[in-house]
Amino acid sequence: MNTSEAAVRIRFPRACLAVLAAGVAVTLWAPGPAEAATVLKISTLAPEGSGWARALREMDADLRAATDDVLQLRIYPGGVQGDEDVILRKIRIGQLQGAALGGTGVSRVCREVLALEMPFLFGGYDEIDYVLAQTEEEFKALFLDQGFVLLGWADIGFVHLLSKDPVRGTGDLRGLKIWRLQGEPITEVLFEKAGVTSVPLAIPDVLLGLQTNLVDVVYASPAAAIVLQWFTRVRYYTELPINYTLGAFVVHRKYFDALSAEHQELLTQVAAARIGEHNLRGRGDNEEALRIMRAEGLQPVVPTEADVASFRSLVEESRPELVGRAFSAPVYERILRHLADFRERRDGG
Amino acid sequence: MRLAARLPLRALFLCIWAIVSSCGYLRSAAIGNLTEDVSAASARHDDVELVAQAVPTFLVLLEGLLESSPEDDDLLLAAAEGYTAYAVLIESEDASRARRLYRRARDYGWDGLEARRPALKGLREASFGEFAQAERHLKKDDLPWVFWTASAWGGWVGTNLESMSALAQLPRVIYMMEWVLEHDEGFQGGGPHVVLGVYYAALPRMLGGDPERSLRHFDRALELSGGKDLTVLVQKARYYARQVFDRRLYEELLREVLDRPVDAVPELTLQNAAAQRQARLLLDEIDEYF
Repeated sequence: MNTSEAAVRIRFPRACLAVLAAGVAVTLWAPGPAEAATVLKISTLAPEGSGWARALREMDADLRAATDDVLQLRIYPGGVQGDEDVILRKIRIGQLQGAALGGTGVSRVCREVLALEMPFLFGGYDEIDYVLAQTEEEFKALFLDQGFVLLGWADIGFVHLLSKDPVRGTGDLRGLKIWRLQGEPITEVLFEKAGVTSVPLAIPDVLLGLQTNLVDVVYASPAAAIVLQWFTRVRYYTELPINYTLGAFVVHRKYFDALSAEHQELLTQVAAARIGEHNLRGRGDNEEALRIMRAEGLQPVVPTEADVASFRSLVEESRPELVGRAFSAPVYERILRHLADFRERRDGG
Repeated sequence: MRLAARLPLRALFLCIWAIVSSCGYLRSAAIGNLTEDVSAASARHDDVELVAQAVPTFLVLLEGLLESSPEDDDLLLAAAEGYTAYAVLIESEDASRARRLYRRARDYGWDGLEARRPALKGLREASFGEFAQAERHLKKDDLPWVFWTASAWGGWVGTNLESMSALAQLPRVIYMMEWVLEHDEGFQGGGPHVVLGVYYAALPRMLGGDPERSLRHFDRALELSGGKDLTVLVQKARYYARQVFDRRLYEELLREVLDRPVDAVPELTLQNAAAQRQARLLLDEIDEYF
């Protein structure tokens, strides 16, 4: 993620244009007046004007500037190409070439991502940054197995509990109706172990679910709780970051491979730089979102150590049913090893 | 950057408030005969540029009047409408300036509401739960203030989508627009329907969008305005047709806008001329979206 400004601004020799113009059978031709351009169609649920859309627009501008408009992105924001399942299908049949995916889409492409999203895995961004860097090659290979080039992780943030009644520990969950994301394997196991009532709903139905008291407890990153307006229907949030979630920018390998080596390199570097900036902004957004929720009158509920332990032991109990099922054990174990290395060095030195 | 000039980089997911509002102040700023006459004449004008250049003068004049009567609710309403209208006109050229003007407009509108209903004081900064009690203090004749305050507020959010604190205000905007809809759905030729049509189309379903609901709002606005207000067609193309990815509908709607005369309804001339200008722009950009 440390791409220098200079690298982003590289201008490629004209010769590259010829190579491209000759060889790109699978890419799309823009009807521009000048020489034919390679246009990668990229879709995302993020609305126009949002941070994710901005990062994509910046990538497009960088690519055009560096290639005299020969390599471009065409961006379809706001889910105009459909939800993430539809977007992935369109990529596979060639109507789109890539996507900036959120949590759902990413774990559809590569279920091993769920290993990074296990509750209480990470204690902070220093740990996340280290582990993501250490596992970068492994995840790139895993995505490639599924046909996708992973061009960058995008931070979504730490999930928090939001509720109508205060939730300090697992005991407080009993008797409450807890939302669970339909089709998401980790929460399904967790809530079953906890012996609580969970109500599976798709994300668009949650706000109404809160309004009609179908659910009392939901979970989201603070920024998502603002964007989805859930914060208007709850009174408490629990000051306990539960799990880290992330999205990704991917391009199908078929279209990536069709690019010249120079353009592949350029795209890789531009994406890393712009997503890096986007992530820093995103981390600020989550902190800001927590401040806003407090200003909106939501009360932070601070769990005691025993409460935190109750959540942790619930996750421990569920682990055997998740590791090796929801995601593969070796990937998870390597993540744990990197994490242990990092902590040892940080705390020991 | 060439791209920046051609693409609406910040596309105003709520830019609503769009041209619908662009002539609003021209209609209701009832401050003396001169203002009324200027308003009426402008609304019948077919040269958008000329009027856009003239608006700031008018706004400065209004500010002067407000200096001596800071709690005059009619003046405050005129200022809210005027600044909103002007912000809409300049938004595609200078979004950050538009953002500041929307905010100013919102503040004038809210001050106007507070001048009329002192019980509302402090509610704007209160939590959403408290804010949502506002309807207990509102009366039906507050409607223009509520509509213009919400329009300006929505414009501010729409030009500020990267800000968490702006996004957090969106529920207030929608709450106020729903209130307007409930009390007079035909206000400004179905204005609240257009705003909500934009809102439900601008977001993906995953984030609370609802294309069917958007379509119902747009079609009702078309009914209410008798199809004479071309801005409704432009907004339907720009938001609904794009969200459902219907290139043919997008093209049809915008071509229809261009085929219609701008001065069929004299008071809508300026508004419709602005709509045609935008329709031309949107047709030029069609390949960027589909």
